[in-house]
Amino acid sequence: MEAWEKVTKRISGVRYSVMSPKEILKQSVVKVITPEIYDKYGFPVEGGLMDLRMGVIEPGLACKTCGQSYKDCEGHFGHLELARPILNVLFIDEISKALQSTCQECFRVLVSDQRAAELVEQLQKIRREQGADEYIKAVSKQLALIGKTKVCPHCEAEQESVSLDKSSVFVFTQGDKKRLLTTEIRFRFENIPDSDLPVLGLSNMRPEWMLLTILSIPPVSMRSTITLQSGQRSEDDLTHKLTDIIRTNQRLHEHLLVGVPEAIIEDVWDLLQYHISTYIDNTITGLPPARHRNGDPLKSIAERIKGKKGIIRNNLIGKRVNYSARTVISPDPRLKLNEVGVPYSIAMKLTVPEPVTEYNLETLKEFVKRGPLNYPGANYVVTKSGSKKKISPEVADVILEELGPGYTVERHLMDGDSVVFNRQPSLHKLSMMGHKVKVLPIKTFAINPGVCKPYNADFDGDEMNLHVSQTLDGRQEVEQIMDVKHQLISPASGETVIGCVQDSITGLFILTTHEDYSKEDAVELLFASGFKNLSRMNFKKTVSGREIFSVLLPESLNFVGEGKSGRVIIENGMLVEGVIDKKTIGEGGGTLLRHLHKNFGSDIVLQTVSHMFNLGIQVLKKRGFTISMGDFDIPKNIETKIKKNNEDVFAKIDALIDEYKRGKVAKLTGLSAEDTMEIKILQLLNSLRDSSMKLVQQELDKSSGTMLMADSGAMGKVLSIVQMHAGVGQQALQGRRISRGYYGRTLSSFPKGSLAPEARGFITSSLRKGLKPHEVFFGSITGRDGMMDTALRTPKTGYLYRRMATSMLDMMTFEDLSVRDEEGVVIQFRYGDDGVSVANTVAGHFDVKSIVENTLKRKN
Amino acid sequence: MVNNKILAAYEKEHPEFPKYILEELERELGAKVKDSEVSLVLEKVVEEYGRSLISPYEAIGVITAQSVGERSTQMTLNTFHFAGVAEQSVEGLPRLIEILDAKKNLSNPTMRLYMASEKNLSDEKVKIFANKIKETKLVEFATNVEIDMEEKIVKIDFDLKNLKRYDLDLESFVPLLDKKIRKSGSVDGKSLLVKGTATASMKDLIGIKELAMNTIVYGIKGVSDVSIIKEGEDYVILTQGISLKNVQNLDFIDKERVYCNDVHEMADFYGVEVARQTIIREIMEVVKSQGLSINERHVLLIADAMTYTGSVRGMTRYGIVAEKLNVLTRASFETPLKHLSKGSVINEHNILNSITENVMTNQMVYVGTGIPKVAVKARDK
Repeated sequence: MEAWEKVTKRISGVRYSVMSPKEILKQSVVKVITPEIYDKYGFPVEGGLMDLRMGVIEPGLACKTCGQSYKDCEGHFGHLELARPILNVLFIDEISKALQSTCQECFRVLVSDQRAAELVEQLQKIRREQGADEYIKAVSKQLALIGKTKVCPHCEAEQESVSLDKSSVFVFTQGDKKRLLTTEIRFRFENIPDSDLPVLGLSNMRPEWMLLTILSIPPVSMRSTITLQSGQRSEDDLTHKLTDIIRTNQRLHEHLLVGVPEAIIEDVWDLLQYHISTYIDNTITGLPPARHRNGDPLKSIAERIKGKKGIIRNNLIGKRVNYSARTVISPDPRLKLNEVGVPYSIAMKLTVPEPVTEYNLETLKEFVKRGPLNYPGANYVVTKSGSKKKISPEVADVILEELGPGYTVERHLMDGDSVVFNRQPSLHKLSMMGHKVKVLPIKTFAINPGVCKPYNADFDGDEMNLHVSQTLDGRQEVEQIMDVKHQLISPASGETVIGCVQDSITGLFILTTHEDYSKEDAVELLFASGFKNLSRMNFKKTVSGREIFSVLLPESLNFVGEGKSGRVIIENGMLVEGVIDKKTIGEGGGTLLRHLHKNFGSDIVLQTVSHMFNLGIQVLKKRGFTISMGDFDIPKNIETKIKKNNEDVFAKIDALIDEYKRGKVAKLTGLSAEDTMEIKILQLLNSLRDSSMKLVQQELDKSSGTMLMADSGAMGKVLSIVQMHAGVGQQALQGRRISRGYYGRTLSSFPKGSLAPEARGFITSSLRKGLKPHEVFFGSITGRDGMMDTALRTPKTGYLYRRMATSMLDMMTFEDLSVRDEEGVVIQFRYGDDGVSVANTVAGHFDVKSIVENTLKRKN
Repeated sequence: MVNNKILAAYEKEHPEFPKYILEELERELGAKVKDSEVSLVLEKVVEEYGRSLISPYEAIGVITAQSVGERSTQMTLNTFHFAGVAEQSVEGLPRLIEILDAKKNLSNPTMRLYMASEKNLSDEKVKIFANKIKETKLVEFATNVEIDMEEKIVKIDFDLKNLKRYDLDLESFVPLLDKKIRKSGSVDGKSLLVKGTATASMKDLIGIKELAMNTIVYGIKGVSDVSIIKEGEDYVILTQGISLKNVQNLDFIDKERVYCNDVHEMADFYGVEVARQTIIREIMEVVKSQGLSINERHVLLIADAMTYTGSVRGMTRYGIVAEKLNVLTRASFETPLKHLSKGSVINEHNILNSITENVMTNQMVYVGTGIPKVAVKARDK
C-alpha cells in the first residue's frame, strides 16, 4: 500500500479525567491475587503479576487475551482489590481541600446553596474566559476561604479542622491530634452530594475516586523483565514494588479476616499506604524513598514521566530516528556551499526509498542487481504488501523476477540527494540545513568551510549528523526550504551568514590591493578557481587584481559599501575603488554578499562565493603566503618609545595615587575618591594601550603575512600583535583592576596598600619576550575568570532559551500579517509593526535607498 | 507625515502602508525630483514591500526565540557597574534574564530624570537638584551624639548652618522621628532630644540612637545614589533606586521624560503600553551593549508576548507558560505530574492544535507547510 492510499485518522482532542473503580475493573483482564510471579518451572503463575493475560514479553508465547505474539500485543491491564482504601498521593492537595471545605456531619460544602450557585457561575466564567489554569487558581483560592468556615450553614454542626500531617496522614488540628482514617475520609467523600462537586472544582468525577480501592496493575509490557546473560531474570522496579503491595495487601486482608487488634491493622495499613505512595511517586518530600536491596532508590511511575529523561521530554517531545549518520567533519573548499561530502561506507548504509514505476524499472533493477555491497546498489525492497526484504546475492534473482510497479527499492544514497545536515547544539534553524550529497572516497563528512558559521562548527574533532528524509514531501521540503541556498540570510538580523573565510579573505585582500598580473597568470588564476567564462576579462598585457576579481561579478552589479579601510565601490560589475576584505565578503554580515543576494538571488551568491573562495586560495597558492617571527620585529627606537610612554604614564599614575593618598582627588559626581582614582587610572592605562597600538601599527610591515591577515580580517587582530611585543596590558576582573588576594595587596611580593599598576594586574612584558612570574599569575586570573564565565553561561542561556521557546512556540503569522497563538488570540496585529520579514530586509532595514538608486540610476 | 503630493495621496489611499517607508522615501528622493520619477520609484517601493512581507503560517514565535536564544549564548555573564558612571556599566545575560523573567526586585534599579528645560542650568545647580533626590539620613547632618543614661535621652547635635543650606530645620525632623520611634523627641536649641521609656536600658537607648540616625530626613526614600551625566545639551540625573511616585512632586524635573528600568514600576505608574516600550528599550540596550545584532522585530514580539494580556508576565513557569491553554504543553515544560493530575480532576478537554501536543501524538503540526492542503476538484458525475 502506498503512503497516499492509507487512510489516516487524526486525534483531534484529548480529555483528562480520573478513572473510577468501575472503569478500572472494566479494562482489567486479570484479578491479581498472588505475589508469586513464576512457578517452579519458571512459568508465569495464573493470577500473578506476570499472568499471560496481561500480555507476553517472551518470544514463543501467545497472549491469552488477544492471542498475539509479544511483538504485536500491546499488553492489557489487570487489577488488585485493596483490603482498605488508600490515598492517591497525586491527588493529596485535592483530597485535603475537599476535606477541609465539606461538613463533617452532613457532608455538604460549607457554603449556602445560594452562594454556591453564585460561586459556580463565577468559576465557570473564569474557566471559559481565562482558561483552565486561572480556573484552578480561582478554585483553590475559594476553597481556602471556605475551609475556614467554623459552622456548617446547612446543619449548623461545628467543624473540626483537619490538616495533612505527614505525606499521607490526615489529623484533626485541635486537641490530641486524633487521626482521620482513610476509611472515614472515604465515607465522607461518598456522601458529598453530586450537586456540591462543582464548588470543589471537580467535574465529571466523584471525590472518592481520589482514594484507591482498586489498584490498576499495568500490563507486562510496561514493566518488562530483563534476562541477564547468566540466564537469571531481573524484574522491573514496578514489578518489585507491586509484589510488595500485593504481599502487604494480603497480610492486611488476613488480619482483617482474623480480627487482629486495630493498632496492628493500622500498622499494616500504613505500610500498604507507603508502598502504594512510593509506587506512584518515590520522590515525595517527607517520605523516605523505597529502595532496592542494594540501596538504590526504586524508579516510580512519576519518575518515568517527569524530568529530562522522563517519557515526556525524552520520548514524546524528542524522538530517536532511523536513516541518520554521525561522524567527524572535515573541510573541503572544493565542495559547493550546499554540498556535503559523504563517505562511501555511509552512503551504502543510508537508503532512499524509490517507488518503482514502469519508467524507472530498468534502472532500479540495476541497483537491485548490484545489491548492498556494490555502490550504487540497494539494500532493501519493499513489496506490494508492505513487507521489507533484504537484498542478498541469494535472493537477488527472485526479487528481480517479481520487481515491478508498486514495489519500492531502497537504494543507496547518491550524488544530488538532498539530506538534512545538523550540528548540536541546534540553537537556531540554521543548525539544520539541507545539503546535496556528494559521495566521496573519504572517511569523514566534508563541508565547505564557508558554511561553518551558521553551524558554529570547526574541524577540531566536531561531529555532525546527517538525516535522509524517507518521504517525497519531506525531501521536497529539504530541497526547497531547508537547503543552504535558502538559508543564506539570517532570520535574526537580516545579514548574510555564509561567506569567505580565512585564507580566501587574505587572498582576495592581496589580489585587490596592489597586485598586477600578466594576462596569462590572470587566466590561470580564474581557470584554477573554476571560473570558465572569461568574456568579461580585459585582455591587456597586465591585468590588475581588481579586474580579475571583477570578472567574477555580475555585469550589472552596482555597489557602494564600507570596507575595513575605506569605501568599496563597484560600478557595472567593475571594482573601481576599495579593497575587498572581511566586511564585504566575510561570513556573518558580508555587505557585498547581502547586496548580491538582494539583487541577483541566492543562486548567484552561492556561485560567486564559491568562485571567490577558490580565487582567494589560488592567489595565495600562486604568490605564496607565510608568517614568521620576523613579522613581529619592531625597530629599537619604537621599542624605546613605547618604554618611555609606559614610564610617563606610570609617573602620572604615581602622582594620581599620591594625590589620592593625601585625599586631594577631585571627586567625580556620585563617586568615592577611590572609584574616581580607579577610573582615572584605567583611562590612563587605556590611552597607553591605544598609543602603543598606534605606534606599532605605523611601524609594522604592512606586507607581512601577519599584518595582511589582521588587516583583511581573515584571522587575528592588531591588538594581539601589540600584546605580542608592546606588552600585554591591563588585566581586568569584573571591570576593575585586580585587587583581591592578600590583605591590602594582590601578591606578597608587593608592598601592602600598593596601588601601582604592576601591583594591580598590569602586565608590562610582551608575550614575545615572556612574562614575569607575577604577570603570569595575573594572566591566569583573567584566563580562569573567562573559563568560568563560559562554563556558567551555557546552562543559564540554555534554560532561558527553553523558556522562551515554550512560551512562544505556538505563535504564527497569518495571511493578514497578524501574529496569533494556537487559540487564535492576536498577539500582534501586524508583525513587527510593518509586516516585513527580517530575512527580507537588509540588515534589519527595508532598504528604500537602494531602490531609489536602482530605479533612478543615481550615484553618490 | 509626507509632504510630497504623490506620496501623500498614496498615504491617504493606503493607510495600512508603513509610514516610515514613505517618509524615508521622501528623504531619499530629495526636493528636486520630477513627479514621474516619484511615481516610478513609489511603484517599485510598493512592489518591493509586497515582496518583503512575511509569509503566512511562518512559526514566527520559534524564529524569535531562536534568534534571541542563539545570540544570548554569546553574551557575557559578568555584570559590573562603576557606581554612577552609566556609560561604564556592562550588563549582559543576567540583565536579559531579569527583563524576560519580569523580575520585581532588580539588581540595579535606576531612574533617568531629565531637567525641566526652562531654567538656566549649570553644573552646580543640577548638583543641588540631585542632592534633593538622593535620600539622606539623619546621621549625615549630625555632628555629635550623646546618650544620657540618667534622663534616658539621646541627644543629637547639629550644625544649623549646614541644615539651612538644605532648607531644613530641626522641627521638621520631629514628626519623621515620631513615625519611627514612639514618644520621641523635642528640639532644644541646636540639638534634637529623643526620649526613651523610663525603664529603658542602655541597649534600648543605643537601639533608639541607631533608629534615629538612620531616619531618612531628606530626599526620596529608596534613592541611594545619584549621578549626573550630560546628554548633548540636556542634564540627566541617574539614580540608584526607583520611586516614580515621589519624583512627580519635584518641580525641577521634566515629568514627560521620567524613565526607569523597572518594567513593573512603569506598568503600575503609566500602564501596560509603556511597560511594553520599556521592555523593548531595555532589551535593545542589552543587545547593543553586547554588540550583537538582533533585529528589533524579534524584541517587539517578545515584548508583545509578555504584555498582550494587559499585564506584564515573565517567561517563566508561573508566567506565560502557566497560561498556556493545553495540559500537554504545560506538562512538557515543567512539573508534568502536577499539570496532569490537576487537569484530570477538572476534566480538561483540549483540542490538539498546538505544536507540542501534535509532536507528542506523532501528528502533522499545524504550522508552516503543515497547514496548506491540496484540494482536488471532484469529477462531474
